[in-house]
Amino acid sequence: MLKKIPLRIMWRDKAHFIGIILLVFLASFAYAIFSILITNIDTNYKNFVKNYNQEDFHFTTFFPIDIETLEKKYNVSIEEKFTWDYEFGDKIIRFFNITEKVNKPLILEGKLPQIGEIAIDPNFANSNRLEIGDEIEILGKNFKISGFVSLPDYIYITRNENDMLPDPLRFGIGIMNLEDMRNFLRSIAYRYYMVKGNISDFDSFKAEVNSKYNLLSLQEKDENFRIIVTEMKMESARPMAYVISFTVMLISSILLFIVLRRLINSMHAEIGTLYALGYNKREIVNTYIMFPIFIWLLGAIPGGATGYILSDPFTKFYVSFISVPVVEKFFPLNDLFIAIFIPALFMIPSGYMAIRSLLRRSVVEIIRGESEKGFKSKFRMKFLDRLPFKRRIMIKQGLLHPSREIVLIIGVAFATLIIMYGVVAKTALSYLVEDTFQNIFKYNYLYIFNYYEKENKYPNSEPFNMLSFYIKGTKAKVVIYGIEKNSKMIILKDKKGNRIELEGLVIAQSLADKFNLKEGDYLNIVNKIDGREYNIKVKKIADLYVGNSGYMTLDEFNNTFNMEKNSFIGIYSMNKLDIPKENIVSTLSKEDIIKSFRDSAQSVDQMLQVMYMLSFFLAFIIIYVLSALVITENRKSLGIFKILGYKDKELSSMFLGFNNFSFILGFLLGIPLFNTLITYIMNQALKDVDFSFKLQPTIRDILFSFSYLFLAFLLSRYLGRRRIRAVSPNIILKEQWE
Amino acid sequence: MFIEIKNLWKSYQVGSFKIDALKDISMNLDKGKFYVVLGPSGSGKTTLLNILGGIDRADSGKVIVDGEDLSSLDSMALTIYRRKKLGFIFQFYNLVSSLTVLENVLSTKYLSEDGLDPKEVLEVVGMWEHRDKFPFELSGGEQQRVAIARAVVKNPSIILCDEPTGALDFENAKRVLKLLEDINKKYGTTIILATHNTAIAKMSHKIIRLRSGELVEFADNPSPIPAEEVAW
Ligand SMILES: Nc1ncnc2c1ncn2[C@@H]1O[C@H](COP(=O)(O)OP(=O)(O)O)[C@@H](O)[C@H]1O
Ligand SMILES: [Mg+2]
Repeated sequence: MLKKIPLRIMWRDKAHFIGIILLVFLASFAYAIFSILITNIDTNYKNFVKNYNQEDFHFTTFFPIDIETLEKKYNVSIEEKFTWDYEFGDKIIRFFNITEKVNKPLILEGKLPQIGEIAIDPNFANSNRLEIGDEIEILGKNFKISGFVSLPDYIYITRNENDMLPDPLRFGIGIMNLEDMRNFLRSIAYRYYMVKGNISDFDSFKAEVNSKYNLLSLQEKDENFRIIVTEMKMESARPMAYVISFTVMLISSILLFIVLRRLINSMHAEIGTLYALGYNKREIVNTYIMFPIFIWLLGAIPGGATGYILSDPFTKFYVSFISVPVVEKFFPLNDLFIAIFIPALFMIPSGYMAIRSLLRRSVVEIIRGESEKGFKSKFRMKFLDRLPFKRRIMIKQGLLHPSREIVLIIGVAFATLIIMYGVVAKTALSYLVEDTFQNIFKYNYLYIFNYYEKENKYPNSEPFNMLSFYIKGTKAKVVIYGIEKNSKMIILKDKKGNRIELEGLVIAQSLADKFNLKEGDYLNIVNKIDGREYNIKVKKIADLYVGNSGYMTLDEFNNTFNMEKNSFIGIYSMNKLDIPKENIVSTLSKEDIIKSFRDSAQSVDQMLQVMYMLSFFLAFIIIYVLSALVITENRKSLGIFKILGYKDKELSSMFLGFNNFSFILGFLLGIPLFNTLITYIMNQALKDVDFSFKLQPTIRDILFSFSYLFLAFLLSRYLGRRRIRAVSPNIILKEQWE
Repeated sequence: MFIEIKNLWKSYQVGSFKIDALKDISMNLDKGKFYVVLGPSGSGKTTLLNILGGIDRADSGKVIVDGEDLSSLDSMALTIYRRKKLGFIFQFYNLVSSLTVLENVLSTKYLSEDGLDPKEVLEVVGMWEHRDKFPFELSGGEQQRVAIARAVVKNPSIILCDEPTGALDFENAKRVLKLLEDINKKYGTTIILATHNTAIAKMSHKIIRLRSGELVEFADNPSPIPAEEVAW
């Protein structure tokens, strides 16, 4: 007989329980979908790295090396790889020969190319509508596409080493047999050595290679953007996934506790009657513990199942963003199991705690009922007496139930965190495009030469020099540029927007933020090629948020780093220049960069929509459930007030008005919370990476987030007011009939 | 005419039954008088008071209070009507449990522009010393006195009392009646008191007797007795 109670009451008080069930659903869903995603990507990535022998580093030398001797001496595998850029129109396919020891190609679809065949990366193929079996003509020779390929050292397929985003429409990679490749290799051919294995004395390895073969460049795996971006993205997705699902669970369990305790208090008389009828405590607890169990089952099972089902398309979507070749699909049952069972760990104890208060009371006490006692002297709150009546009741209402206001505050703070994350990322991206690339980087093209030049013969252009370093004691890469003193191509400004007079070292704000550098601090850097150390004073910090970069005048640069006066490695230009191909290493067009940023803004948009929904939903449900609770428990008072002649509007501001404060407080707390999380992600997850973004919320971001969440607040307030309107004075009148 | 009721009908549908709670009631009430609506349980007293109070609506007929035709008012206008003109006193007091005595009184004081001084009113009902207590800390009689103070403080032109003594013992009941009598005299408030207790009718200026929803007597009481002398 008692068994029917919980479901009936849940049905009666739908507004409270459906909200909590939805939250549990959300928590399970989020956990399932994220953890399955992460397991899939993680496992596939690890398998890929392991089975296809991802390199530990690669290097280039002036003279060919003796592979076998080095392999034996340092106990590693080394393989030579050639590369060649096939340019057609505005597109490039970067071809490599097929390797067998290190960075082996993974054929995702189709076959390894035979002679006369090629395999290309699927993103490029997709964007350019190329299919397996298609033929393409390469410099007069026809090649058949035999399959789609993925390379362990080109997971994140960018054209230049430091490009932040791939551009699959115009840049792709491919493989072909060395025999075929030989036809195309000319002076621009590029050969490098890929190494797999750990070298204990890395410095002596470098020294040996340098002295014997003249080491030109060396890149370790964890500073290789094309490899590390994926790991980095995975690392930053993980805390987000766990934080979201655990916080949602925590919030829903507190909410359940509040609702259930309220419910049990309001049912004391009935429960007392059950005692009187001869039921014992155990039976009663067993009845009421069904509330959390039902909530858990109704929320977690559909939530987990939905997450499980949607994890496949979600993984597909995410993979295109993170670019890990997913060869094998995993449906990890243990992730699903955790997604379904974790909420029980939150809900059942919280439910039990709400019931426990019953167990501690004597039967007589329970029967006597509880609804009105508890207004002890502290609830008189005489200090509020001076306020006008309405405001006084409103504040009292809030102070009477601090735990509810706390949940509301936490919930709103968390919703703020989520939405800010999305909004700020979006702003950061468009700031980069609209501001940085328009107002700081004025050049339209950038060319990097093969050799140092001394005389700039191109009009409308400026020479620059650059060197890569890492910050001593870290793996963080810093690029320092030497530019003209009054450059027209790079306009560095300080925080106030005034142009910085270039003198000494000026570093980007993003670099300063990451390593906590202030003007006047010293930057201790090590040249990546020759290992020389420099200790340079930071003169100024520029309002620039791209990369870990620093700027000096060209003269000072050459002087500081012992380079010949006036020498430079590249030029910034306003116009497209006609420089012989064999003279340049790389070209960069600003328009292309901006375009690829705009494209990728679309995938950010999709993430953003998820965040919008999530934060709205969260804020709305919490406020709504708590308002519904207040209205239900004050039904009688509301009825009396209505008879006395109070308007719905007045009642809503008296009974729900305190939520305004809590909402605003929650929002205000959300901002530092967001900043903390971002600092954490920036400093921990992205610590060793040359990657920076301006992720400080702007006033506009804050206003937007506020207005958006305020909409959720207004909606719940509107529904709350409707519930107040629905309260009829009849509750009071009924008693008068008898 | 202060209150004009004409051919008032009201029925309730209970399942497949239709109960006529009020049948063709017509009467005119004057300002400042003390009326007692008398009748056994189920005779329609509460229904009548609820319609007069703008909480319930008539099926047909006219109810005009102080120039306002209640049937023409929407629910917002009825709220304003209650707030401006009426005080309510119920059998079960219906104080707001989370508010103290003083706050309960302030809750209606807030609604009127020219209300009385809460302190004065609480002193009249003898509850000023208890102003910081919560309703659950008070006896039934005390709670009803607070309810009276709450009704009176906004100085309404009409106070509707539905079985105000129904849950009280004799002594407390008499005290409540005395207060109502005093208020009627002191402030000229029209009081309409519903009860099944015939003894109380003796203190009224006019008796409205209902039986099964019909008005069976509407007669002046030539010699109302003071509340102190009411006995049962
Ligand atoms: N809301 C209602 N729904 C159904 N029947 C009602 C309702 N209110 C009153 N009644 C019925 O109308 C009749 C008159 O009731 P009421 O006015 O409460 O009488 P009294 O107050 O004199 O006891 C009774 O038969 C009662 O059962
Ligand atoms: Mg009645």
